[in-house]
Amino acid sequence: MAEPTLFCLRVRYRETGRLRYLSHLELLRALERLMRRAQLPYAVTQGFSPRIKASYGPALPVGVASNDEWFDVWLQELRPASEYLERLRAAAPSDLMPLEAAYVDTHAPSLSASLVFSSWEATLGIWPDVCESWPYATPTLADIEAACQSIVHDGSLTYMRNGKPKTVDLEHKLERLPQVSASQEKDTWATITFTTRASNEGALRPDVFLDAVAMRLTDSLTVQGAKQTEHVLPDSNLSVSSRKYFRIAIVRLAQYLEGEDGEWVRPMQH
Amino acid sequence: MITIRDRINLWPRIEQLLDCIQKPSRYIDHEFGAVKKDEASFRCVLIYPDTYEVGLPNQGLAILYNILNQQEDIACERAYVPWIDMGDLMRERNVPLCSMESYFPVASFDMVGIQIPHELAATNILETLDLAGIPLFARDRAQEDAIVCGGGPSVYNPEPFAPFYDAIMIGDGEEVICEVAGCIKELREQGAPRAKILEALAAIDGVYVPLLYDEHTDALGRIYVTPKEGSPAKACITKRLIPHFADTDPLTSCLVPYVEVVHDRLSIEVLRGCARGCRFCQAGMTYRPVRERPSDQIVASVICGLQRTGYDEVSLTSLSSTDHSTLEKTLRRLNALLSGSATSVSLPSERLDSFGLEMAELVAGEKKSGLTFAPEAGTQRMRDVINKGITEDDLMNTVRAAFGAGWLRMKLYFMMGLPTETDEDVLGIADLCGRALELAKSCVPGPKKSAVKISTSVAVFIPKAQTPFQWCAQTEREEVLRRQKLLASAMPKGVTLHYHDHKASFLEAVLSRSGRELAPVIAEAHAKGARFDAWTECFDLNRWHEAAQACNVDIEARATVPFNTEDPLPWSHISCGVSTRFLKREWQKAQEGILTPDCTMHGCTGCGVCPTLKGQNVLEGVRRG
Ligand code: SF4
Repeated sequence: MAEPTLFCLRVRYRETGRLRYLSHLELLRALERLMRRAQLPYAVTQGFSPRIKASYGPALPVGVASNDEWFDVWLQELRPASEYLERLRAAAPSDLMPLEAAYVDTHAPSLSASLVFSSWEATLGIWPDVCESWPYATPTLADIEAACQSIVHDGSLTYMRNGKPKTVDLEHKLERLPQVSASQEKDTWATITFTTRASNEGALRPDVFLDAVAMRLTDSLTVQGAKQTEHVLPDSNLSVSSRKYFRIAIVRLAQYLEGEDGEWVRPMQH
Repeated sequence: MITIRDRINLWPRIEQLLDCIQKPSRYIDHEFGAVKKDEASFRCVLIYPDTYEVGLPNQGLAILYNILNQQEDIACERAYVPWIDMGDLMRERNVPLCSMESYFPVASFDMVGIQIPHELAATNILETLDLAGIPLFARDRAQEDAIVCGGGPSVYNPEPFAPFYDAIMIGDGEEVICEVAGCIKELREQGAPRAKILEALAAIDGVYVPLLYDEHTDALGRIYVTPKEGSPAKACITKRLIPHFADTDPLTSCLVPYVEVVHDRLSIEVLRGCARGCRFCQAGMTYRPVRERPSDQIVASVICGLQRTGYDEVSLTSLSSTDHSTLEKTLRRLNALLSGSATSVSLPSERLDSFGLEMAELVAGEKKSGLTFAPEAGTQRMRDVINKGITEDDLMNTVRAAFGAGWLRMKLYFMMGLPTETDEDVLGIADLCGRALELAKSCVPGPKKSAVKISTSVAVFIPKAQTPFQWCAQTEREEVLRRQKLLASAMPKGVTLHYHDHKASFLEAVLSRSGRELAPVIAEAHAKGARFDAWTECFDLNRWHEAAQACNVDIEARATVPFNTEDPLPWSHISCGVSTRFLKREWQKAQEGILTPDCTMHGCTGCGVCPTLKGQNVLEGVRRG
């Protein structure tokens, strides 16, 4: 029997609000269920435990939101992408809303390998109800800028992962250096934007970077009271005590493929 | 001043904790299919006393959640017990337990339902109340406090937990939950005093209000109860029954979690009740009579449920789904309808005979991962005592057919310490497994022989209320350990042997066989840090021994001293419809090794359920024995 022709539908969606707390596996399961509810004519994989034939973009850390996530699904029936998009939207929770859909070449390189650039926007502030026990002076934009710069200057970052220290080399991982600007939001000190570049050696996790910024801040600020927060390494399991004070909200703004000359290419343009 | 009785959305305070704990997605609500009814004035919250992962798939609560939300002006929400890291952090930050949908404090709800799923949930029931800020004992609750209701599989000896509840519903909950909620709603609107509400609840069929009973203590310190004079409390609370089960909505679990939960699939309850009559089995007594859903209804609800939820698996659940008279037809129809959609069908347990294996083949397709059977005992004599109507031939034929058909792994469940058990019966488990392994290997072609695996799990027998063994004791610990060693030494090489933790089984026996005298022990154990006792990594029997000592209750005796068949039992005032006369007769027949057939395949055996509950077995076709 000849292989049936399949069509690759590329879908952009957001992962916002509370659903930023989904783990990567939870997210994949939610997307699969979404495709089933939308009754897409999906192709299935071979084998004893067949699954929907689909592939997904790089994982978001737990707690980080995104306006620009992607998946590809292989379909058995060609219909206008807009029709499938509508079906998906009707079956989706609003925090996991599909935003765009278009067909791409079935031989396009996988999303997980090709989406190398991620631009991030983070806000750094303090939880309102711990404001009073905050032992430090309120950081200025200059303090925060200095904290970012000192990390970049170090060239590497050590953090805790599952109880063990892990070091990332920052070289080639920061495509655009952190920009610090004032934030309009209440109880928020600053907005930090930066762009990371993933490679075979991995990527810089935005939450790890922000935790590190927060830790540097507590090192550099003057203590108002006698109490000082515990000095620990930023921890990718988010169990650090600093998170009890710092309110860190991170959003992935956009992802890009790398063009032939290293330029940024939107995933639909492929 | 804001109190925990104010309906304030606490999400911002929860959100703030989520960066500091494991698995934050347990606490975020917003699942597909969750119901939000902001406008309803009367609010219930149903709580499963364990983590989200364990509680969400619970079908009983899913049924009641749907039913209550269909009522006008009643909203029903859910809550689960936060895992230890979150629970501790909530205490530290002064955040009370809140519901999922609205994030209102649990204490602000009119009706708080906490399920009683099994005995080891005892301390988690208290963890729930404690985190919610509701007084643990019903007697300490004030007028404004929520009415705390219970129900579920483990209410047939409710006594150890009874003092924590204002009302406990016995039996099928579909109707009684609406009557209870309606009663509380009406009286609350009238501003009735709490005592009046409890009296009105006690007048509802199937509702037990523990505060309305007098306590009597026997010579061994066991408490049994009788109705307070002049109160509407009933001398015997008989379970509620839904005789027309097929009229209930089979589509209950349409709430699709993000977190990977313990049963991460669509569940369709295909029948209720089991009449095989295994004498150790509480559910086999308490869910009678047997009521099957028609095949058409099952197929339609599976297809509709899968489309609505997007699950890739459906489980046809019940105590014994393979007994459904038209199961084969149903499975063949489902297989045809679902082919090519990467969707699978599963059955919760396998029946140990050729038909059971055929059905296992039907659901497994090409994926033959492993089979699970429960012979329960090693010798024919012992199996006859417990009325497990299977023979060694049944097992061997199944082994031959299964390994011949390509399965390579089989797991067998046994019990140890059953009434009348001797060393010969214990060694019989080893013999049986040895013969099964040999046969299995002979059925598999040469190169695959080494992949053949038979594993066993051996639990300690726990005598349960409302069964023919309710008067029996649990075997003492030293003796259990001796028998475990004996079996381990005789088990043939190549059969893996796993023992279920005997300490947890001991506590389960204590909680199954005690009266109200145990409630203070549970409270003390919780105060000493006991919670999540059903989780091996959290369970510590020492806390319980210390608590029992502090309360001066001999828990050892609770497990290991038998009841005389003429004694009043702590649970005598609760009835599942099975008569004590029948249980005594069964106990007698057990001792003589006489079998009692299944009334869905042979004639009525006179258990008393049908006349007492005005119901009957409802079968779609003819059952295959
Ligand atoms: S009364 Fe008879 S038919 Fe009904 S459940 Fe009992 S044994 Fe079966």
